[in-house]
Amino acid sequence: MQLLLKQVRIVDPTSTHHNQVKDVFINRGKIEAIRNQISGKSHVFQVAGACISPGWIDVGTFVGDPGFEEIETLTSASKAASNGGYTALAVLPNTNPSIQSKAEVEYVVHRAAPLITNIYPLGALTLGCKGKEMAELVDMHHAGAIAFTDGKHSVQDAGVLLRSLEYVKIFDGLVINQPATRGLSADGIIHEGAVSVSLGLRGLPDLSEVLMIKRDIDLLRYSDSALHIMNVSSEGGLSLIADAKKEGLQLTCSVAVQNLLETVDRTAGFDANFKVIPPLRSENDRKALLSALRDGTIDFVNSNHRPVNIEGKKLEFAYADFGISALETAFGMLLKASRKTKKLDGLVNALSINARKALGIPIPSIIRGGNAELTLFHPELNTRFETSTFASKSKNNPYLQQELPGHVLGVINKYQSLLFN
Amino acid sequence: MAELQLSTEHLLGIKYLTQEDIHLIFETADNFKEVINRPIKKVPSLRDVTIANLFFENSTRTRISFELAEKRLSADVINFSSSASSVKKGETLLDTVNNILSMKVDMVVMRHPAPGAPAFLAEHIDANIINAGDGTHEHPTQALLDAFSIRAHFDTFKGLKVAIVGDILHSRVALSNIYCLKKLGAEVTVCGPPTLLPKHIESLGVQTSYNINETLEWADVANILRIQLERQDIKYFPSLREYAQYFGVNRRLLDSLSSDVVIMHPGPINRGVELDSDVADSDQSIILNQVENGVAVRMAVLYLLAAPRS
Repeated sequence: MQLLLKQVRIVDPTSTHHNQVKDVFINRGKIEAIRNQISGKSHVFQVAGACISPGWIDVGTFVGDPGFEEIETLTSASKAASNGGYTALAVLPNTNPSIQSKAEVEYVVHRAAPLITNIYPLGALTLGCKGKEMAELVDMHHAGAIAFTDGKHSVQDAGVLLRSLEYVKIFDGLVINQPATRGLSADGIIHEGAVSVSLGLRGLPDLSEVLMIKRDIDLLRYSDSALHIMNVSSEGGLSLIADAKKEGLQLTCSVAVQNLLETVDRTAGFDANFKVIPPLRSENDRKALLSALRDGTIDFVNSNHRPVNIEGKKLEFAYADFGISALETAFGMLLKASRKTKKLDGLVNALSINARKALGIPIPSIIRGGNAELTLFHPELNTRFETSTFASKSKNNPYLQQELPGHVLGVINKYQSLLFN
Repeated sequence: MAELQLSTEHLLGIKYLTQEDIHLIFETADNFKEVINRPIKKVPSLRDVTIANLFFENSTRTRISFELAEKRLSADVINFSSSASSVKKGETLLDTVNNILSMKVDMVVMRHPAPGAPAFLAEHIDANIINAGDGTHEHPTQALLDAFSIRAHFDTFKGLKVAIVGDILHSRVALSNIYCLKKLGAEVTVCGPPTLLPKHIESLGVQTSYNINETLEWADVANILRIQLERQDIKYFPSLREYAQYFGVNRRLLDSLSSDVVIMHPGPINRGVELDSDVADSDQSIILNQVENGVAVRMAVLYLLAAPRS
């Protein structure tokens, strides 16, 4: 594959070409040349105002393969990822069976090999993601699991989390936990506050998240290991994380893009498309999340892709499943949420660089001789999302038939390219 | 009377009504209350209107009250009951209701265990929806009949002090009553054990209290709610005995107050728990008036929602 990208703005804080407009020539999966002008190539991509950055990565993507293929397969997730500008996904172990041993890790790696997207399996921390018995973490690590988590299930037992944090030190591994204390959130449906009271719905108090973050930080300090807190949603949780980071603990955290853009008010009309975990919280929480993303307390942004088929969503609000199928709209949601800051560096750090640093994945920097794993995008164009062109097998997304800022022009990875212009 | 219309085509909850809507319902109910005390209690207002009563949760009094109201208005009525356990999934709800609507039904009265189920239905089907109770969300006709019953005893709602006592956390009656009374200008205090008062309930503009004596001393009206043991999956208080001692309303408590309080209860009463018999059956109690008014208020709601059709 040969491709010449004409006059693209390079947005890559890790590259010496950062913020320069260049011609970039890609040959056989490598960036062969970056110069002011390159000519005489047959395959040329040229869109005025186009930007390129190291390919975006989504951490904690839900894919139902194996077990829930009617919701999302690795193939459909890869298509959705490409539409959304992602070249890499770190996928959750909440499959059936869970990704809990070498065999399941190898299944994912094998199935993903021909896809344009790099798929990094997250191994289950415990068997069946049930939070009881530790899974074979070293074995999964050697098979290609990039980090370990029970994914959608928060680890309730402090002893289990502590032993896991200690055990992964064998291979300098990373544990990921999404914080929610079950006893305080078991029947909760939306953020606890005025809206939940007015609808008669059980609340998910931010206390449920804050308590577990506090516990997890204490366990991290005790074990001297590495922890990632996935999808933090509350102001209270953020301040604990900020303090722990100042202390020098090996702690990173991420936010779900939905929590940067929307608040609990969106659920006041019982719209199940906004029924998500972590729940949409207050405007104060949303503002705190945005500012924590800017100041670096939050390392990166997840799409929190949770595809749900229509039978699981077109239900009474209380019975509908949680989640937004968000891979394709995440960039637009992030741009819309962070509209006031026009800085693309921050966006690319949040979508591409920092997650790889946290997970220990090499960054595909835009330098001569580097691997061509790129996202092509246009920050000034808008995108209208249509159900008919939505690649995810599940269409649970509140932004369908609507427009969001930003436009993905294509992705390049593994000797392949998908260009949408 | 026929020229006046509600601002909504469904009754999903009191929070979606205006103050004018509520007054219109009351004035219409006044007329129907007169009608049902005549020798011939039936009027032809809803002739040729078909109403389906869909009860996905147990109900005796609300179902009977609606059915009576519908029959007094000469509507054609069909009844469907199903336990909550057999209808868990919404496609079943939509399918069930669509099946019934295929038989040309104009209005649906629904009770359902899921908060927001009537709103979901209103979005997906073409009929007037009346919420007869949706989980812990709202029970609008109960709140209307409660306020209508209070109205018979007091000149105005402005500044009227109403206490709602008991299990506020699990109560759709409490929520609808709060919305209704606040819209009418009353002051509301909710009283019960802290574990049965939802956090953030003050955001609805009510006061909270854990002390039944102080609350009843303050109140003009006390609406005593049923302890919803069937809706409690966790223990919120240690025992019924302790509840009855510290939050039960009895004669001794009422006699200790400096003035008479009007006592209400949406029924069915757990006698000896939240309310003692010598209070429930006393002159201060308007519990049976509530039941009678229920039919008139529901006739008014049905009539007003059906009015644009004719």
